[in-house]
This record gives sequence, C-alpha cells and structure tokens, in this order.
Amino acid sequence: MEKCVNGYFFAYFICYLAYFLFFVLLSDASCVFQLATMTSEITEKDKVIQDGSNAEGTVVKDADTSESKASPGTLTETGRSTGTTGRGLSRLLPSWMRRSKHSSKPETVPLTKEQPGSTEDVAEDAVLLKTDGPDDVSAGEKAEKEKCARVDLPGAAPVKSKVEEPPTMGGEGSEQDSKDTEKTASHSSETRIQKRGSWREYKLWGRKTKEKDKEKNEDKEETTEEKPALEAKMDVQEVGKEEKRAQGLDLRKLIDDDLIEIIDDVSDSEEKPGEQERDEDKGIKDQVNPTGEKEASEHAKEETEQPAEKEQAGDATSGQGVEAREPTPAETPKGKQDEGSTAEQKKEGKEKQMPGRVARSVSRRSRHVSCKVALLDGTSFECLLEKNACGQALFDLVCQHVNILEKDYFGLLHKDEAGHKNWLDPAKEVKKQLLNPPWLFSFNVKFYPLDPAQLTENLTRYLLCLQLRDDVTRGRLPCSFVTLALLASYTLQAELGDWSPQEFEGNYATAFRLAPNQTHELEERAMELHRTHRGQKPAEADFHFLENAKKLSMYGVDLHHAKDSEGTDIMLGVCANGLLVYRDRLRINRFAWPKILKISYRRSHFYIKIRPGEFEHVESTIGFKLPSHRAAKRLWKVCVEHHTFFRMVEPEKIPRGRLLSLGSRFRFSGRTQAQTREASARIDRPAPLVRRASARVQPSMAGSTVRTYTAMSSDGGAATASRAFNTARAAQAPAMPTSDGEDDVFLTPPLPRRSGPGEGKATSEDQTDSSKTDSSSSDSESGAEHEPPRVQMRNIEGENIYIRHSKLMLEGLDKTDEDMARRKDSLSQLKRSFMEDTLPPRPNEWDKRLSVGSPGRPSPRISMHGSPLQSPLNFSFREAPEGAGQSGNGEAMTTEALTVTYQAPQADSEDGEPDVLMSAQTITSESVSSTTTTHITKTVKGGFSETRIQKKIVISGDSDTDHDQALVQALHEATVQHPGMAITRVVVHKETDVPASD
Amino acid sequence: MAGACFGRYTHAVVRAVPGSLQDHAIRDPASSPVDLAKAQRQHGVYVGILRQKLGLQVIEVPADDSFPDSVFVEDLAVVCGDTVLVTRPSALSRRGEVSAILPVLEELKLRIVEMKDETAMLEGGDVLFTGREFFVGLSQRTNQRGAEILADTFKDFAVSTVPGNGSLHLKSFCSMGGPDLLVIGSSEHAQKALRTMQQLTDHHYDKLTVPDDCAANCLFVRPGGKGHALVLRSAEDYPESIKAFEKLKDYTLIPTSMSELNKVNGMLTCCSILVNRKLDV
Repeated sequence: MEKCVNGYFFAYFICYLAYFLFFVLLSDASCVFQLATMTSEITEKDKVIQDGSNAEGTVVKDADTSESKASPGTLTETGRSTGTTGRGLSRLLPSWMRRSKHSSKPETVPLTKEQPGSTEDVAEDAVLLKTDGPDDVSAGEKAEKEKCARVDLPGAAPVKSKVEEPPTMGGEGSEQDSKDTEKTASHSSETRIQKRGSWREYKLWGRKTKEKDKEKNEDKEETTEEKPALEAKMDVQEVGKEEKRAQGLDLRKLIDDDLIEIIDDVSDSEEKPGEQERDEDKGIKDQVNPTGEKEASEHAKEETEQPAEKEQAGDATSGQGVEAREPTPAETPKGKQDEGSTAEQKKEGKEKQMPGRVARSVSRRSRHVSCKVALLDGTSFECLLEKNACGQALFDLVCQHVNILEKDYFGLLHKDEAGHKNWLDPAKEVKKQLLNPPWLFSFNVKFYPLDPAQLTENLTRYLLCLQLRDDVTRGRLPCSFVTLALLASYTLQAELGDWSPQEFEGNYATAFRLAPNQTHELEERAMELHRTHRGQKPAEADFHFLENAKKLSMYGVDLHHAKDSEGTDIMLGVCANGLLVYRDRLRINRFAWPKILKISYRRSHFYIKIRPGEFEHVESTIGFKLPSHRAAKRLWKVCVEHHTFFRMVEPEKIPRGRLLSLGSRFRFSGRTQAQTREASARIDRPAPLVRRASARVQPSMAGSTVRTYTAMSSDGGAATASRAFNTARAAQAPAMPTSDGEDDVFLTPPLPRRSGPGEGKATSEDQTDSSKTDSSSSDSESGAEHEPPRVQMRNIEGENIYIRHSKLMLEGLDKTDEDMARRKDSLSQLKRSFMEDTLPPRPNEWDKRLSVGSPGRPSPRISMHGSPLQSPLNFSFREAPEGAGQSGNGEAMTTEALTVTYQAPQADSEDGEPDVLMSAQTITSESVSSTTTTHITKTVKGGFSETRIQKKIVISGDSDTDHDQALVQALHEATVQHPGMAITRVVVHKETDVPASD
Repeated sequence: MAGACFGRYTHAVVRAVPGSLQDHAIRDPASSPVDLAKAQRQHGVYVGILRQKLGLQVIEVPADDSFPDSVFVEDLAVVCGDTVLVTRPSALSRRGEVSAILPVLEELKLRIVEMKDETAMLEGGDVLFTGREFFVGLSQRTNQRGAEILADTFKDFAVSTVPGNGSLHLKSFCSMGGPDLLVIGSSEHAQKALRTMQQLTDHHYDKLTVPDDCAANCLFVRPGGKGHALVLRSAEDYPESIKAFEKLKDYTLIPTSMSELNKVNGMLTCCSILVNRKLDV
C-alpha cells in the first residue's frame, strides 16, 4: 500500500479496481453500482497525482514488475493474498468473486495497464490510417509505435448490474480488494511504457507500406516480450463507467429482466461462504472451481477434462474454470453471461435449461451450447458449440455447412438487446461477445466484394446474391424501379430457369419476394425481362444480377446513425473505399481511406483525423456523435475491419504484450481481400452444388441435361475407410461436382419440403458432433439425441450432405478402400467394354470425364486399352421386337428394343435376411427430351440400412442422338451424383423405330 | 448501366425564345441588354446543330410570352434513363413552364416523377449527371429538400451535394465533356466546387480546365451511339477556352455562339432536355 504514493500504482489500483468492478458488475448487482461510482471518483482524484509523475512511475514500476511474469505460482499467491487481506470485501462479496478474479486474470484476460496520463475514464481508441493511395502524401513517414488499450469488453456485461446492497460497503470492499490486486499486478507483469499523449492510436498501413509494416512488427516483437498480454483493465473501467453514465437508463431497464435470477444466486453464495473459500484455493490450483453445490462425480469429471482444454485454448483456462462452475453464482463475466443466458433461455423457452438449481446441474453437465445460425437461404443451421469456443470455431462450422471456401467475405452477425447488430469476432470467445444467450446468429456478407466477377466460385456468388436480394427487399439497398425489375428478372431466371409459355402462366413472380414494395407493375416488368434472359444458366443469371447490383451507390455500404458537430442527424456509411457521410440520403461528404490518418472513438464520439489536403497544412480531426458508446465502438470496429480488408495486403499483427499500452487490442483478424483473392485463386475443387433453396423451382430440370439410363445402385457401403479419412474434405466439398462445368443444379422441390425441420436439425447436429472428434466426452454424447455410433455417422457424412435434402440417411457397410476401388473398376470396365462394343474409343473424353470424379475419392482409373470384360458380371442381352412406335406420317415403323443388363457383383445382396422398408420415395423430373424417375428406397437389413436408388431415365430423341454417349454420360452422372454408392445394375432398354419400308 | 451509354440520346426537347425574354427574364442587372433577334437566331442555330449534326429528334415546344425564361427547359426536368423528375424551380415566374413540357415528356413514355413537396426547390441547371452519379449544387435555386427528392427518384445513383456558390447554377461553370471527363472553369468557386466533387466521388474523373467558366458548359453527345461530339462555345465567344478543348482527341467539336442568351445566364446545356428513348412506334 505504501507504494501507492506513486502515480503508477494508482494506475494499477484503478485498473484493478476496474477489473474487479467488472466481475462484480457481472455477478452481484448489489455492489456494483456503488463500486462504479467509487471508481470514478478515485479516478478523478488520481488523475491529478498521476499526471505529475509519469517518468518516475515508469522506472519504479519496471523495476518492480520485471521480476515475475504471470505464472501459476503468482496466481496462487495472489489468490491467497486476497483471501487474507481482502477481508473487508469478503464480508460483502462471496469468495468466488475474488477467486474468479484472480484465477482468471492473468490467464484469460490479459490486462492492459492504463497510462497514468490517461486514466480519464474514457474508452478511446484510435486508429491511425496510413495508406498510400494516389493521394498518399506520407508514405515515407516514419511509423509510430503503436499503443493500444484494450477496450474490447466482453459483451455489455455491466449493463446487467443492479443496485441492491448497501452502497458504502461495496465501495469499501472494492477499494481494499483493488489494492490487493494492485500488488498482484506489479508482480505478475513486465511492463514497458510508451507515452503517446492521451490518444492511443495505431496505424493502418496501406498496401505499399507493407514492408514498413513488417519492420514495425518485427520491431514490436523485439521490444515486447511479455507473452500473456494483460489486458481488459481499461475495458472494465472505461466501459463500466461509460455504461453507467451513458446508458444509465437502459441499465435499469435491462436489469429488471434478470433480477430474479441474480437474487437467487446471491443468496446461494451467501449461504456457503466457507465452502467457497475452500474452493477458491482449489480453484486457483487446478483451475477448476467446484463449488459446494457440485456433486463429486461431476467435479471429478470436469477435472479430468480440464487439462485437455487448457492446452486447447491458450487463454481460456480460467474461462474453463468459469465454465465448470458456471451454474454457481461465480460470476466472472462469462459466468454471468451464461447465467444471463439461463434467464434468457427460460424466457424464450428455447432451451431445455431451467432456472435455479436444476438448471445449474443441467447446464453444468452439458458443456455445449446450442447455436442457431440463420443462413442466407432462409434455412437455419443449428449446432452444439463448446461453451468456450472462439467465434472462428462457430464460423468454420457454418462455413462447412454452407460449403463455402471463399468465406472471408462473410461473417456472423449477432443482434444485441437493443437490436443492434454486431459482428462476431472470430478471435474471441463467443460467450464473451454475447449477452443474451440463445445463441442466435445470422450468416451474412460482411465485406461486399467490389467486383463479384472476381470471385472464384459460383457458390460464393450465389450467396452474395442471396444477401443482396435480402438487402434489396429490406430496403437496405435502395434501387430504382428499373433496376429492381432487372434484378428481379435475374432472380427469376436463376430460380426458375428459362421462361417458357407452358410452364409460366399467370403471375408467377408473385411467389417471390423481389422488392420492398412489390407492385404488380414491377412483377410484370420483371417477368417481361425474364423472357429475355432465355438460355442463361442460374450461375450466369447470378452473375448478371451482381454486375448490376454492384453499381448501385449503396452497394456494400454499412450505415450508422450519427450526428455531426452541429447536431444534425447524419448517417455514416462504411464501405470498401472509405467513409461516407450522408444526410437524408444525400452524400455530403466522403473520406477515402487514404485521406484518413486515424480513426478513433472516445465515449460516444467517433473521430477521424484527416490528412491535410493540397492546400491545407493542418491535420484536421472531425468528430461525430453516435447514439452510444457502444455504437461508436461498433462503428470504429467496422472501420478498422473494412480498412484492413480492402486496403491492406495483410492484416496488421495484433499488438501484444505492452502492458501500459492503450487503445483497443481489436484488430481485424481475418484475411484481407488481397489474401482472400490469392487463396481463392488456389481453390481447386469441383464446383460445388449450388442448392437453390428458394424451392419455388419448377420440376423441370431447366438448363440441365438429363440423359437416359436405367441404373440401379445400392449403397454398398463403399469406401468407408477412405471416406472416414476424408471426412473433412467430403464435408467441405460434398455434393455434386457436375460434369461439364455446369455447377448449378436445381433441386427438385418436393425434397426440401418433405424433410422436416427436425430432420435438418439432426443432420446438422450430427455433422457438428462428428466433426468435433476430439470432444467426445460422455456428456456431449448424451446430449445429442439418437446419435448413432460415431464411425457410422462419419461414414455417411459424404452422402449426407448431398442427400440431406432428400431425407436420406445412408449408412454404409464397412468396406475397405480396395473393395470399393475394385467395384468401381469393374464397373468402369463394364462401361468401357460396352463402349468398345458400340463406339469407337474416346480416351480423351473418358479421361476428362472421369477426372471430374467426386472429391476425396479415388476415381476409377480407366485404361482404354485394358483387358476385356471380366466374367463376374452378369451380362444379359436381349433383343426383342416390340410394338410399333408412334408414326409421324402414317408410315409404319417397327420398334427394335434392346435391353442390356449389367449386374455388378453384390457382396451384400444375398444375405437372406429380411429387409425392413424404412422409406421410399419417387421423384420425377422432366426436361425437354428426357424424363428421369428416381426411386429411392431405404431398407434396414441385418443391422445396416441400405439405400437403393433406382433411376430410370428415358431419352427420346431422333437418330441423331448419340444414345451410347448419353448412356455413358448418364452412368457417369449417376456415380458422381451419388458418390459412395455403387452401381449394381445397369439396364439399357433401347427402342428404335425402324421404318417399315426397309 | 451508365458508362457506355453516357451521351447517347435520341430526342431533344427545346423551346423557342419568347419575346418577353428581352425585358422580363431573370438576369443579372449589370449585364447588357439582350438582342432578341440575335438570341433567337443563335437559338435557331443551336436547334439546328441538335437536329442536323447530332442527329437528334428535336421536339420543339412553341414559345410562350408569359414565361420569359421558358427557353431554358433544362431547369424543368432531370432525365436519367427512362425516368424524368419534373423539378420545382425556385422562381415563381417559372413554375408554370412545366405544363407545356409535361405532355412532351409523356409522349416520350418517360416515367414522370413530380416534386410535390412545397419546400423543395430544384433546377436542372444545378444537377450534374456524370453517368455514374449525380452532383447537385445547392444554390439559391436548389435546396437540400430538392436534392433529397432527386436522390429518392434516382435511387441507383449516389447523389452528392455541392455547397452553394451564390446564385449560379452548378452547371454554369462545369459540365461533362465525355464519359468521365469533367470540364471545369478556372474561377475560384469553380475550382472549389471541383475539389468538393473530387472529394465526394468514388470514381475518378479526368478534368479539363478551361479559362472561362461559361465555356465549361458544353454539350456532350455521342451521335448514333458512336464517336464523341461536343457542342461548345465558339471562339468568338471564348477564344481562349476553345484552345483548351482542341486538345481533346477524337472529338468532333461543334462550336456555336450563345452570347445573347448568356446575358440572361443562358448556357448551352440549358436550352435542351436530352432524352434517350427508343420508342417502338
């Protein structure tokens, strides 16, 4: 305490106080409010002292702190010291508060020391923009050292606080506690201070300064050695207060919701102080904090789980601790959130968890949280996510589900209570970013590519289209009538295919939502234009859609409400090129990224520092007032991200380790556009299936060609091993690589409709679970309903994705790779020999076709000059004259029918066990010259389920049609369409009309 | 959408010079009196250029003496694509002019949007369409509200406002001399407006600075959709400026004099509404 004379220790003091406050805010509302007020008072006082003693403070503190870094040993010590000295507090606060604070502090939440000179309670973050566009003046300017203060607050935790307990006591407690913590800090950290005035700033470098950027980073690395960067100090302090002040009203309002829950917890904690004391020490040691409530078994289980998880998430250890005792009132921020989540869930009835102790025991057991992500096509994806998973984990799951590789343009949005949408930071734990825990997200385009034509995959373009359609219909992307109609017509073309007078009668456009205020006139116009798009494949229509949409002035502009310095309502639009200022839809100013030197926010103000123009010599700073601190931060983050994504070659390294650095640690962590383009140029997979889910698709397979063949395939459980091996890959690139670059396949509509939501859910859950192989804890398994053994699930994953919509669950038999290869080989030989019989060999054609084979699977090697047909195939050849076909001009015709049957060896067909029919489906689709009938039966036989798909494709065409070619094509398509399934029988029935005169 | 078709027109709406222009037109009191006959002659030459050299179908609305400024039809309507925004001029004396123009616009089968807001003011002379976006000069004749309505009408395009510079129209010192070519005067306010526009735009425009502000108002047309034709003020009006224009390559320069109408703030673009409308009839 004596050292507190020094200004720096006051800084520590304040920081810790704030830190403490943070947890308090989350956990125990009663103390919180008071603490908050205390904190700010102290801050004000200290500021005076601190300002005078900067240099000294630095020296002393460095000396003091350099000895020890954050280590478990320190932690334990800390915890104890708290236990003894923090008595005043312990009366008031349950021990878990202290415990959680200490145990988590150095590990989970890196602390950032605030600078003495800037203990002003404001959250201020600055981003210096140094770019070198055409008008970049100072490319050669020397890079300034960065500083950042951690401002990222895990959610709006403080908002949930309440006032209940006597204020004075809380204040006292916090003071004492913070003093203790201050000591801790001085031991657990090594510090380097760089004074930069009261603005913390970091610079963003433009493309050409890449090298410089690198140097800077190296430099940074040299100077900063502290590994576990300590942060979150400032956060707490700033945001806590900020919230208190700026959102005082909201606070109260929101508090009420959680009132009951919190009171409950408080009483719990007060009941068992002794136990918690004991637990505290324990918790510090092993990072599991079992509370008195915990049953021994659970305790044990969790302890065993801990080590693995510790390794898994570097800084998540204490988070885990929190998780473990999450149901107890141990309210670290996460704990609080989880609890809040319980409350929310209870309210919304979406979760099975129940309030009170029951809920606790339930939630304690399940370490996964169910997430629901609304996808662009209107469906939703549900999965179980580990509680302490990072945003990236969820995002990856979603991307996997959506099957997108160019995922850097996308992000997950989460709506907070106020309805504001926040992007989920992939680098941070999900639970830190959410307040209200039904974990609901939406998958959206985050960065609108300036030139969608440069996207590699049609699937990406399709998703972008979906986003833009939504933007248009919701009015976010305003466009004129003409453009609306044009865009709508491309939508129709993409979803319905070519216009034809027979199929499209009446106002078929009404079924689509095409515009914000959809009028009949618009529909008429759209349908009129739809006719003109004849022949465009869906991907082409999407392409044209994007080409038109990208020209719209509000394309990719993210608008934020604000006020200018005069209090006029304006909108700030963040886009790829910079920051736009709108007043009532009129653009009144624009700041291109190269023009902006620095972006920052401070309380609810957002500032940009403008590079001096040709005729000015002074840098000017322009400030905007945003509705709240949060809004300012949100805007700031979006700006940082957009700048980095669109203007930089690579993202700036996240500054770390500088203890007294200020400003936010937030940086854009994804890939930049340049990197994304590079990456997508390397994408090497067959174009994925674009599932046009709007499902108003006509049955006609417009645009796609269907060839005649009759094939009976059954899932012989082919290539289990290889599939298991390729699980991830197959999941990514599942569906159907189409043969000749035609990658858009209409789904026949009945399928998605028939599959109920439950089915979809089960599927996605399965997928999630099986993809998380290492998390096979017993409780997760019990959590997932009717989950078959893991191996089998993995087996089916490949098919699953393709056939998911058709409500098929294919469970394969365990077959070796060779087995499958052999079968494929024999089949291809069959095909080849058939070809040889009837056609001149076309090696190139074959090779080309087969090389398109399904991803992740050994494509059968075919050698055109190989051995003749092997015997194991049943080969029946029948030739029979049949009745006369249709005669055009009264001319008599005879029909020559040719039936060829190929039968592949069936390993599993003759086992004589009774089959149980599980499901049967028949789908018929027609196109101009062919009819495809797919009959799918699912049977259970001897413990395995078998799916047979029987396809009957009839091609009617004149003699010019190359039937053999068509057959080959059809066989190939069948194999490709149903990867993992083997063709067991091919029956060719050929009917030829022969003029009778001959 | 814009770039390639910019400058392609099929029709031009013009209105003859009324007799009352000489005495009653809104004008700078300091300017010398208008020679009506000469003004009419110059206007005739102008219409001839539109018809003969630019190959436009000219629809000429008869003059009406009760509207002395009615020759400046551009102020009455902003056409973009197949939509026309009928404006609301600030001067009360001009409000009635629209009634004669409307039937013509209807005949051209344009989607007509009228400004109903009483507080809105907008004149076509303040609206610069670059092919990619709109700039609206805020002046005594055009206000924020007018610009908002313009933005609502042409939602596809960004509408940026250029703060005022007195009574002058925005297009009194600048115009588009081609796709992505901005012709700008060299006066201080012209340059200031240019900087504002450069700041506001996402696109890059080439600029051609001419010594005289009024010469910067020229008429760019691509006759028949090919070639670049530029109707500009003749050497007799602005000898210096025409030299600047002569640097342009692959342009057909069509100099004409507009000295008389210029006395009542008349410009080349002011005297016509250009429409690109292929009628099936």
